[in-house]
Amino acid sequence: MVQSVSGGTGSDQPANSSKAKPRVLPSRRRARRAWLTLGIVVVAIGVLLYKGLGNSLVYFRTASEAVQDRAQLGNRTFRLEGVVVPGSVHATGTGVDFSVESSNVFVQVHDTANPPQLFQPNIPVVLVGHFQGNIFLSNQIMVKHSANYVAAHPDRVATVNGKKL
Amino acid sequence: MESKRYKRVRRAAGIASLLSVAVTVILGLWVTPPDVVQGQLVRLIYVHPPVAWVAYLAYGVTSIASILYLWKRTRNLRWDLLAVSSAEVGVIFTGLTLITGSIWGRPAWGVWWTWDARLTTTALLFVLYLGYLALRRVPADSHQRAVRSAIAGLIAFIDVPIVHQSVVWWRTLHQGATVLNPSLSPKIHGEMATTLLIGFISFTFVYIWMLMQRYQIADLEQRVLDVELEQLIKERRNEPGVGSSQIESTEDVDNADQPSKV
Amino acid sequence: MNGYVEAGYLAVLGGLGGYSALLLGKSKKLKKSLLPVKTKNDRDESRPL
Repeated sequence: MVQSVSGGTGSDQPANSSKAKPRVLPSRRRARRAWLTLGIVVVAIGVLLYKGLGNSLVYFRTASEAVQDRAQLGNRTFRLEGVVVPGSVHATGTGVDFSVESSNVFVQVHDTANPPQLFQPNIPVVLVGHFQGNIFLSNQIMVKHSANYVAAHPDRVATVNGKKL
Repeated sequence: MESKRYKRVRRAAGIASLLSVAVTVILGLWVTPPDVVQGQLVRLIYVHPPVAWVAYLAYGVTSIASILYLWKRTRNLRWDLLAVSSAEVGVIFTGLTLITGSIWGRPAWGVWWTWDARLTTTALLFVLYLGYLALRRVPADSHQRAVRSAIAGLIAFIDVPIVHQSVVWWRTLHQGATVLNPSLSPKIHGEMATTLLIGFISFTFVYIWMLMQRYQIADLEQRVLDVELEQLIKERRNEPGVGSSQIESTEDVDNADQPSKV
Repeated sequence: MNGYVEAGYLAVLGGLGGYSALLLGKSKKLKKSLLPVKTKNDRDESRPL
C-alpha cells in the first residue's frame, strides 16, 4: 500500500539511473490505474455511508425504549442495551439466561451464543436479537465497556473475572 | 541537499521516538497494573488512543499545509509536499488505529467489528485519505494536482471532528473519551494515566520523525524530476532535426508534471 | 499475557517499524541516484524519450 501511495511527485524511481527497470508504467496505464483506485475508494465510501446510516444512527435501543416500542418492534432484529442484573445470570448448555435493566425496566434475555469474557453482572451489554413474547432472544452479546480505568487491587488481581491474570 | 539543521532535528526526533516508545512498551506491558474490569486487556489502551491521536494530528497538518497552498500569498509547492507526506503517515496511523481497536474489541466487546458510529466514521476516515492519496496519482501538472488534492484533503478533514464527537453525538458500543471528554475530567489515574500520557508523547515523536523522513523523500523525488527534465531538454537540443519547441509535447510521458519553480 | 495484548503491541511496532524501514530504504535509494551527476551516456538508451 505504501508503495502505491508514494508517488506524490509522479516518480516512483529515478529514471535517470542506468539501472532503471522498465517498471514504470506508461502514463495511460498509470492514469487508468489511478482512476480505478479512485473508483474503488468511491464505492467503499458509499458502502460505509450506507452501513453507517443503516446501523449507527440508532445503534441500540435501551431496554426501557424497547419495551415501550414493543408493539412496533414485533419480532424484528435489533440491538438491545441494558445492564446485566446481578443474580439473574444462569448459564445454559449453549448460552446464558439473564435479565437486563435500564431506567428500572427489566427485560428477560435468553442468549444462545457464547458470552464474551468480560460478560458479568452489573456490566452494560448490547444484545443482537429479537423479541419472542416478552423474552428477548439474543444470538450475540457485546459488552459495552465504560471509559473508566481503575487499577485492580493487588489482592484481587488473581480473581478478577474469575481468571488468573 | 537537506540542511544540517533539518538533519539534526530529524535525528533527535528519531532517537526520542525509539526511547519513548520503548518506555511506553515497558510501562504498558509490565509496570502498570491490570484493570479491575478489563484485566490485562487494559494494556492496549496505552497504544490505541495515542495512535488514533497521531492520525488526527497528521490530517490536521495536511489541512494546514493545504490551506497554505491554496492561499495565494503563501502558495508554494513545498506545502503540497508536506500535505501528502503527512497524509501518508496519517493513513498508516489510521490503519493501526483500526487494527489495534479490532484486536481489543474481540476480547473486550466480543466482536472484531461492529457498525457503530465511532468505528464506521473511523473506517470512513481511512478510506477518505486513501482516496486523497489515490487522487494524487491521477496525472496532472504539479499545480493542478496541488490544488485538487488540497481541496480533497480539506473535505476529508471534516470527518476528523465527526470521528472524535461520534461517541457523544450517537449511541455507540465504543466508550467515550477517557481524557478529552465533554466534562474534561480524566477517567484514568496514577501510573495508568502517566503511561497513557507517555504513549501520546512517544507516538507524536514517531510522527515527527516519519513526517520529516517522508517529506525529505518527496523533496528528493522532486529533485530527481528536475534533473531528469534538465537532461531531457539537453538531449533533445542535441538531437539533430528536433526543434526545442517540440520538447514539451514529446516529453517523457511518465513525468507529465513539470517541476515548477519551488 | 492473553495473546490479544501481545498481538496489539506487535501490530503497532511491526507496522511503524515496517513503514520506517521503507522510508529509510527509499530515501537512501533516492540520495544515491542524485549523487553522481549522470551524463547522457549513463542513460538507459532503451527507454523511449
